[in-house]
Amino acid sequence: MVKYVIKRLILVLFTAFIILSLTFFLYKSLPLDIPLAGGKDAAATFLHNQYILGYVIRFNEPQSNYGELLGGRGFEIGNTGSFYYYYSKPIIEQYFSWLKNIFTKWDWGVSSNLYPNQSAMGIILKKLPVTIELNLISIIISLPLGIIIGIIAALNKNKPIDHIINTLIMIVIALPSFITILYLIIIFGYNLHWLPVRFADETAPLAEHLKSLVIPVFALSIGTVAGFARFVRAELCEVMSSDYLLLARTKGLTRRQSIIHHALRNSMVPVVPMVIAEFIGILGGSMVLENLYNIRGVGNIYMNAYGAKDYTLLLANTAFYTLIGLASSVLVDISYGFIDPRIRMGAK
Amino acid sequence: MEKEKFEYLDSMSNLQEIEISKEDFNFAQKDANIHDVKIKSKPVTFFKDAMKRFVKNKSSVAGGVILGLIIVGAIIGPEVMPRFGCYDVSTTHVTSADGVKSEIYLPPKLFDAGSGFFDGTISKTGILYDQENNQPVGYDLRTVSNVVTSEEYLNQAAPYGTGGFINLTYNSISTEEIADFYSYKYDYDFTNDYTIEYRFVKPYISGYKDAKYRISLMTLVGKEKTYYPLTGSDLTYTPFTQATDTKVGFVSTLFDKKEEGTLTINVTDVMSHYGLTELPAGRINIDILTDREGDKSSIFIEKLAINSTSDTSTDSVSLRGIKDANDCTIQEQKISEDGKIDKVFNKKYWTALSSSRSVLDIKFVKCNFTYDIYEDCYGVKEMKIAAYKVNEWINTGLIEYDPSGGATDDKAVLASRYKSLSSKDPIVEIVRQEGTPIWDMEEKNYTGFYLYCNISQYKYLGYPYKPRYLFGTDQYGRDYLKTILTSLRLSLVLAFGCALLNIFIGIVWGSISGYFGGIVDITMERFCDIVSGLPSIAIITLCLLHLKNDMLAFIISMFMTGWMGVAGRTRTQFYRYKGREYVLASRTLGARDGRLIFKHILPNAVGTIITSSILMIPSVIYSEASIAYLGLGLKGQLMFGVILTENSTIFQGYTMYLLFIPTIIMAFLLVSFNLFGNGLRDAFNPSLKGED
Repeated sequence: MVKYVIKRLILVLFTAFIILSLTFFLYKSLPLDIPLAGGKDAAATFLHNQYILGYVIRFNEPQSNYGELLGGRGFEIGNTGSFYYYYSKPIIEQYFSWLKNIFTKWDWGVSSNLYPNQSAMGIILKKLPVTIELNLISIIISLPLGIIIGIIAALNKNKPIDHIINTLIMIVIALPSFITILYLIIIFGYNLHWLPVRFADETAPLAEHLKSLVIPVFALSIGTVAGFARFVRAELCEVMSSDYLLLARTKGLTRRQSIIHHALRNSMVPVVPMVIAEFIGILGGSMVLENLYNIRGVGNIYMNAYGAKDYTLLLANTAFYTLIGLASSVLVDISYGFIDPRIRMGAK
Repeated sequence: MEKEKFEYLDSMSNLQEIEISKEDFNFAQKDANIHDVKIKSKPVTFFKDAMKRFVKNKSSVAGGVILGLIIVGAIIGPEVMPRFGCYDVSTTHVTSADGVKSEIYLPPKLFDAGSGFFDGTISKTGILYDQENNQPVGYDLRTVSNVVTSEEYLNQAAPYGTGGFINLTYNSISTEEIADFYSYKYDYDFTNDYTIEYRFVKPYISGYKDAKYRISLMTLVGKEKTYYPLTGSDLTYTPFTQATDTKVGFVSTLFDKKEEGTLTINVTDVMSHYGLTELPAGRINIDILTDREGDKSSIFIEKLAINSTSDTSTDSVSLRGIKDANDCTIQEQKISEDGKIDKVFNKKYWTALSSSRSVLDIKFVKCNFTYDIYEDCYGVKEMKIAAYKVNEWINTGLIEYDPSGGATDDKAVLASRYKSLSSKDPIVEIVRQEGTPIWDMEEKNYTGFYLYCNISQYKYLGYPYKPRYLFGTDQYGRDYLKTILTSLRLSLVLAFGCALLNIFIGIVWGSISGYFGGIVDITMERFCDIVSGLPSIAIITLCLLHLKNDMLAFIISMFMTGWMGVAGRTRTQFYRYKGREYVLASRTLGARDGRLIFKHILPNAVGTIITSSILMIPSVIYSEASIAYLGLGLKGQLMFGVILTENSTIFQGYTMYLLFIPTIIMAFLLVSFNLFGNGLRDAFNPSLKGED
């Protein structure tokens, strides 16, 4: 088991490394982004930072043999009177600097255009609480709901109630969440005036904040509820038709006893990894949802960074999403391995 | 019977001989009927079997039918649409050129106006009603029906209000002072007689006492104001000058509720009464008088009309407070509009600006009505037609018109000049001709004149009949149904293309990976891991940043994200089949890898692979919408997801159909794709039933 976990972890770290290196090269091959707003000072600070991090090189005079991307732009550092010309280093050199910065200092660089000269990872971590709050609430709501609905459907298998639940699950899963949230905003926001039509600011009072959580949480969790319900139903149906449950009934347990003590417990086994996957999966937040309801979360930064052509922030954000995605897959695999020893890597 | 000799090798490989004849063989059992007859029914192929299973699944069949309808509509719809009264999506009348209303935001219409459902009308509420002309302000009567009016009272002077009061208030500082209000213009020459109609109402403002009023003529010679009080026929008072002689003159008694009457100013009487030989030009004046110092007094004037016996005067009449705004709240009330002095205070509408305290209880009428936008856009309307347009119609053979006779509004003359030649002729009736026609030698036609005509607007725009748009028109004036179908077609073609290529790449990749296994498999799997580990949004962003062309970037990013799933599924199928006995048998017989892959394994797996990849098609449309939502690009492309996104911020108003229609279609599309896809998958692979 330990060997399996270690092997899986090494593999996923390797994958992450390759992906991020690739992304780094792709972003660095774009023209360097220098803060446009904030005047010369912001740009000079940014370039100085880049110099310290080892992405650019500087000279006291223009150098004709350099000038790859920056074309040798001169800036004065502070009011010290020292005037420098900055040039981009070759990408491969930048890459090693980048690796060094990340592995020794966990420094992902600073934002260029969106929040000039602020730490990129810092910005993401600052926006993370909103996204986590939203997803945590929607998971907390949708998990019991989904399981209960799934159980109801499985216990009434092939009865009208099962068919109704199945159809609803089908429709809800097929409907994209942005359509759901659009209609929620129209109905509860604009027509009934019960809920706000956009997410509350950080400064808003608690009641208003809670009110503005309703629509995004609903839109996020309705799909998850349906997913859980379908999964639980399928699992429970399978367990209920298994031989050992028949044995449980023949030895004299009531249907109720057999379901609670034998069927439910067993059917819950694969639900646990699914919960992990679901939670980490939506931790990244539905970008479209954040965009539509004006939620200032992680997804929102990505969009704004794209709009501002802030490549450092985009790279850091991509890294965030990639790591989240890979972490979720590896956690799911490992938890499956823990829970169900039949599943092992290479077991085809 | 003859016996034949046969040679054979026995188990010890010795040559033996045997002699047998046909009679040596007998049936062990010989029945009248042979029971192992050939099966008469035809063998069921794999696909037929799957089809059978699929048809049993009612919801999947329903999904498939809806899907089929949408796809067929999208493919042939835009081609056959002109026949149904819908026009090219590129035909736009966004600008309201020539006075024709633009065709943007026409609501869905299927039935005649008035049927109440899909009839191209919208209900307008709370529109100001013009009480003089009896129509909603800003709307043509022919486009309006079911008008329901409601009254509203506001303490605010604004156009289209009627009635109400002007509140004259006076906050006295000392009894010495008088607040007086007077007609603004000085030059009533007082040579004619005037009648003043007045109606004063007892005020009801708390804190203000009822005022007494006095009406007088005021003359101004140099800086000397002289007041000549009037009270109808009773002229027993002496003139006075302000500030020195406040108590003198007629003072009305406190009146009860309402006081109205007509005051005749007989100038000769006034002059003789006051012993004057001439009366200089002056003003008509209303004073408010208070008895006690510090009293606040108020009078409501409901009507104050100054009628002249002569029509010659061209003065406008105004009432003006001479005190500053805190004391006397009326700044200026213009009560005449056409120069005659017979205009009254209860004129149809106030045009003055004033603070809210100065006018009270102005009645406004608001109305709710059904507004037929189609009639407004395509119905008959009076328009000014320039000469070039008339010449254009003459040249294209729509009409005959001879403008040489000059300007006229005589119907008979106009009718004799005009002749309609075609059913496409937009002119319903010519009202008048203006301007002087000049013969243009080069163009050989008349220029420099205008026709005022009642124009049938749909003919003017070139439609053979009044258009009806089932889904209305969008913000560019395009037929929304056609826009949606055209965009859906592009989206579906793109999606099919993406899906096909992805399936192809995925199958090739997965076949190699699954068939060979081992180090090849592990390497290829790792590659898949890396590509699928990168979030799709990051791939799209990178493509957009590097390619600058959002359409190309979109297609490439779709290719880069879609095939891994197919490859994975193919790989699983290969692992499932490659160990089977029939594959082994074929290999034993000497089949090469290529033959094994394409002839033996892939055909068994391909049904499952393709059916489980069918959901890739709606996911491409979903991606379009996501990209457009996030503002990453594709703006303005005629793609379904983009159209949906463009209209997704219309949360209010009647134009919400622009949001409803594509979202509902999108929902139908996705649900039926899911139903259909799941049904197909279950049919092809019964063992997967119920799973996802």
